[in-house]
Amino acid sequence: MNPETIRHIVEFVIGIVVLLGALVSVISVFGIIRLPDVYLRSHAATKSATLGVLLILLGGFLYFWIFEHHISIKLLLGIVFVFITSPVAGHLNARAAYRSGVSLWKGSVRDDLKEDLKRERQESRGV
Amino acid sequence: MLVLKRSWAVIKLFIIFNRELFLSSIAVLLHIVRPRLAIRPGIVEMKTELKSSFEITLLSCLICLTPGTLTLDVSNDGETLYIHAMDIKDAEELKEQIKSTFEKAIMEVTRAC
Amino acid sequence: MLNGFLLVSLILLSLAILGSMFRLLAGPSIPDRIAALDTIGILLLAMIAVIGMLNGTAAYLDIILVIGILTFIGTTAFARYMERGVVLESGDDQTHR
Repeated sequence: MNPETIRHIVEFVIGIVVLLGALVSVISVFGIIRLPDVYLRSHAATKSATLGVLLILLGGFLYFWIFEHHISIKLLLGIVFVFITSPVAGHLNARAAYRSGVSLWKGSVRDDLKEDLKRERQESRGV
Repeated sequence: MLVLKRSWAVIKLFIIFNRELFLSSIAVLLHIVRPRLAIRPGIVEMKTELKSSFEITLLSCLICLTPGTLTLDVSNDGETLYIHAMDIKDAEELKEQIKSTFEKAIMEVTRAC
Repeated sequence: MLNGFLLVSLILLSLAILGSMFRLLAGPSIPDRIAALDTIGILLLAMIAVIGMLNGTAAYLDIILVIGILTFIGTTAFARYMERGVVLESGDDQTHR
């Protein structure tokens, strides 16, 4: 194969990866609009942060590696950073929501935390 | 030898995590685009066997990263994780799944000997 | 050909930012708005990566790191504010609780 064909194939693959990432982001934002309560929306938000951004940054990394001959440490660092921070941010946000009393969706089937949190609060008040 | 075993465990954890990330992402995406919402969310408590705070942090981060499950809270003694799951078909099955994939892989990383 | 793909994904990403803007304005509770703000930050980060590819320059990659860090710090500060009512705690507060 001549280099021109190979270049086209690589461009096509990178384009598909980036487009897939953008599609995942759009679907999960659709979930953020549609789902009924904070905790479910937070599932959708965490997903767009991980899978969509992972795919787009991976596409960018491949692009700069193959076409610019420049292995970008900054993009790799960005991927690692998003991977570390997005679950922590999701957890903090959902925990703050639960502790400040945002109620669950009415279709929820189970809530094990309610009783334990009540007991913990009573204990800390008693001490 | 120990270093070799431990790095193999890290690679295995990474592979397991990527597989779970993709499978559960697709499951959650299908839930979102379905015309009628057919989800039954809920909060499940899970006793963990992990002891040190590093292991518990790693486990709760991995649970948060896989879409469909989210760590809501950790009890003060660090023994119970409260997990908000998007679709509970069977709570015992969910717990068993987390235990058999993530918890086992984390134990292999931190307690290799 | 690559440019076409990149332009389409830029349009999709800006639609996504518009969608989270709706949740930011309409969200019934404060955690909804915080999650929407976090999502906007992450999507902006992805958008800048696509713009960098479109222009063929690696000069924008620093911005990705800065936006990632700022989004995380912002979300953490908001969540702490929601939970405790303060962003930065001084040491004396511990004794009164």
